[in-house]
Amino acid sequence: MPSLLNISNLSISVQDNSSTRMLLENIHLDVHKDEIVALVGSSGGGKTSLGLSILRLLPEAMQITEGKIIFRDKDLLQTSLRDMQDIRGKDIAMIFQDSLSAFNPVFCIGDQIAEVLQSHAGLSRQRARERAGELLDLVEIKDVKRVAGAYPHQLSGGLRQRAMIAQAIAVSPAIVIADEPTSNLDVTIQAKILALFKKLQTQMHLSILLITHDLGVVRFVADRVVVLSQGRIVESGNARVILDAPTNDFTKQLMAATQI
Amino acid sequence: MKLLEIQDLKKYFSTSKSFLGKSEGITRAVDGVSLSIEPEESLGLVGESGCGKTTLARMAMNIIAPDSGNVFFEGQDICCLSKEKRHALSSLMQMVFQDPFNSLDPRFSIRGILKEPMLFLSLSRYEEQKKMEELLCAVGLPQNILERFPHEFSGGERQRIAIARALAANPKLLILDEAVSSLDVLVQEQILDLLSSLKERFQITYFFISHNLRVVRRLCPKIAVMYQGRIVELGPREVILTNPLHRYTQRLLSAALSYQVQDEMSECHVFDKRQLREKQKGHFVLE
Amino acid sequence: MNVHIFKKNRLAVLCLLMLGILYCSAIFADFLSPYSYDNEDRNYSYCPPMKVHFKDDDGRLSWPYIYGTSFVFDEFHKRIYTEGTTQKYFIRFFVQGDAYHLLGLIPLKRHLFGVEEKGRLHLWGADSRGRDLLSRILWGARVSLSIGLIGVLISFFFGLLIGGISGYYGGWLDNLVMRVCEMVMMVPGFYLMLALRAAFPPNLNSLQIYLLVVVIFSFIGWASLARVIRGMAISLKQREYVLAAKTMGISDMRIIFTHILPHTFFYSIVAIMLSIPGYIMGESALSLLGLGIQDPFASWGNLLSEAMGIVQIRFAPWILLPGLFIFITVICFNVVGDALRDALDPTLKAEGQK
Repeated sequence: MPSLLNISNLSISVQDNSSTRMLLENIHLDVHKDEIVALVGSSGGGKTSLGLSILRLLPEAMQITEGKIIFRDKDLLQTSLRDMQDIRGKDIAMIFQDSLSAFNPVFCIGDQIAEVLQSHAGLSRQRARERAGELLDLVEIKDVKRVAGAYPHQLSGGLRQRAMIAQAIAVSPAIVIADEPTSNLDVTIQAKILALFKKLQTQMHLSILLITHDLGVVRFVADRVVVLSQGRIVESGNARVILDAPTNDFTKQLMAATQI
Repeated sequence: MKLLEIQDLKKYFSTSKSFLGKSEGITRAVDGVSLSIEPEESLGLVGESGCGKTTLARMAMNIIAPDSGNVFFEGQDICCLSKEKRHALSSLMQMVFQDPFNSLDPRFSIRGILKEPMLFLSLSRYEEQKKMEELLCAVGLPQNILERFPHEFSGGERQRIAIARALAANPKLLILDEAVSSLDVLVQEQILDLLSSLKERFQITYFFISHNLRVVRRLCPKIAVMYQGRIVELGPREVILTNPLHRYTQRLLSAALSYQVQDEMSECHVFDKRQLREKQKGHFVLE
Repeated sequence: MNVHIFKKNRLAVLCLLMLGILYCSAIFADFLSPYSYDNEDRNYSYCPPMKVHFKDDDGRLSWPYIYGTSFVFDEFHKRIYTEGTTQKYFIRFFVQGDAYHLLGLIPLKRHLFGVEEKGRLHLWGADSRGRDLLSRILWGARVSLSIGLIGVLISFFFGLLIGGISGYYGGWLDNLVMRVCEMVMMVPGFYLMLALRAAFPPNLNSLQIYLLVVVIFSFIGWASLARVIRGMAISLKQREYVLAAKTMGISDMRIIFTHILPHTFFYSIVAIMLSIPGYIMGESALSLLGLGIQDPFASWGNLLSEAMGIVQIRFAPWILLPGLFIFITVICFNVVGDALRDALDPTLKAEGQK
């Protein structure tokens, strides 16, 4: 089956004060339709940068030195920034770890979701608001009216994260890149958000690139897993297979850290 | 003698105030909690965000004043102490906070950070220097970092510095408020290893607060579970992990183990009438 | 503090240098100026700036000199100065002149440059009483530049202290202090200044007037800074390191001084630099109106009060030079303050940390 997103031979360098070093080297990654792929590694290892590079949102200090990112037969690294703007949010969406800073503090949640619908889907204001309400319901928020009218700081972490997911799936993207979406949340909330991801995968035919440092999360939700260590991919394949029998030392370390 | 004893602590916050200052709603952050910690028997307190555990920890440290109830440290009531006694107390009971990025003042060098808790110990310059070196060695950090600043270190390293700072005053009790929650799993393991070795070496008792049972089980032979301001279950670690009796504990355990969570727990309105009853030796459940 | 960013801004470095020169000139004013501030000679009233010659009669390079000047009255009884052609006065260095105490300690009589006894050197002209303008500007710099600095330092000290305490403690204390700040800020600064000055007898000696002016400025200036610092203190006191310090039993005042106020320095230093010009101009305004530094003492403001008539400006335009100095000083402080803000802004740090 051809892949939806294909990253081949990607290398990213980073400038550290005055010296340059390689952050990621020869990365190969595939995301297929209706698939949840987990990208695992330790903090600072480059996982977030990999996610950002897909959307060409890397900070100036980082440069893509080689490689291709093919999405629907287009190399994203060769696409103009104007076309990238079209793709961002509409075809590939991203959700971040810190839900509080991902939202504008002076607008309420409902308006921010409606804004995405108005600009990308061309909906009227009225219709966009209705759809925002429907999306909030889709992400299993109970009191839609209250949440839609609330400001980001007035909501709990779990609710905000769901709202961020609602905003990301608003225009039905093909892929959502989720960067450590549950790291700041309690275990119980974390479990529910992961269950939500699974539901969206089947209901909306959504593919998710889930970036995390926690293998427990991977076991529960991912179809395939890619393990990143020291800037290289050390293991990749079917999640169940790898977690039951990890071959690489780093993967084994991560497994040990998540046992109870 | 018990190291820390919390008796029926209550703390209520008003949720919204009308224009004239009258409160329109009350949040019962801590609603009658009683706990005790024996020396060398660390206690883990588990509960979701918003259940009141941080408020409880702060009342135990005497940072917030409780609305009612008492806190005793080694038999002494900590609420109304003279200045000298309070200084003495602060060296016996210390806290490590959740956010390693904010719990160290970015403008202080590591030396300054480690020196602050030693202010009341009246040590000579030489003794201070030696002590700082010992502390850094104990937490697994190199000696030459004293002149550096917090922003030069990673989250895990900063948390080690925070632990070194907490140990500087030779405390008997260390309260860890979600101390590893914002760290990466591998680093979490390292810090838990460190805490385990420090427990042996310095004979410290931990009061470990977290939302994750997985984190608490390593260091704490006794575990308490908190929900909506009340303790719902309390007992030895093995019993809680293998045979949790209260619905909420079961929920936390399945979330931590397998990321499975049952449906919503409805709010328990009749909390007031419930008491902790001893089901087996040392195992209490709220019902 | 990112010195690197500051150094990149050439203009700011230039302005900083300029300010350095001005302040040094003020400190050594008595040595640098050919005459003392009250050395007058009515024969040279409104004498125009004198021309310094570098070539002698034969056209060869010579040691700089000036010609003696004399004047005649025209039909409007205005003086017309003409340069003589015979009497040469060479400009000498380290000449004997009016006595003074260097840095207030060492009694000296030598000045950097001047001419011998009989001649008078007015490089920038003279005022109505024949006092050398260059000398008076240098002496005036002492007053104008120092009042700005001292006034600002005092008001900032109080602003920081009061703002820090008010923000940290909160509650009724905070409420009270903020209402007081608002009352102080409500009154338009200039009128408050005048009113405060008027509350004191007009005939005070110069030192008393100087101190009074400093105190008045400090009184007006602390309130707005206190408000900002109080706001910062409120958000800073929630930080975990403040909580950590509390758990260690550190006293409140110590926490305010070691943990809270240092984090406000980024803002405070820039605010200081940007408000010094206001103080300098305030002093100038007071002195201009005759309420500040009085004759014979010089300050840039009171030197300008001489230039308040159209006649003087028309026929003795050099009288306006102190205004140029005020202008230069103000611009320099603004440029340096701006550059400092960029240098101190933590978000502009090159290659930020994680």
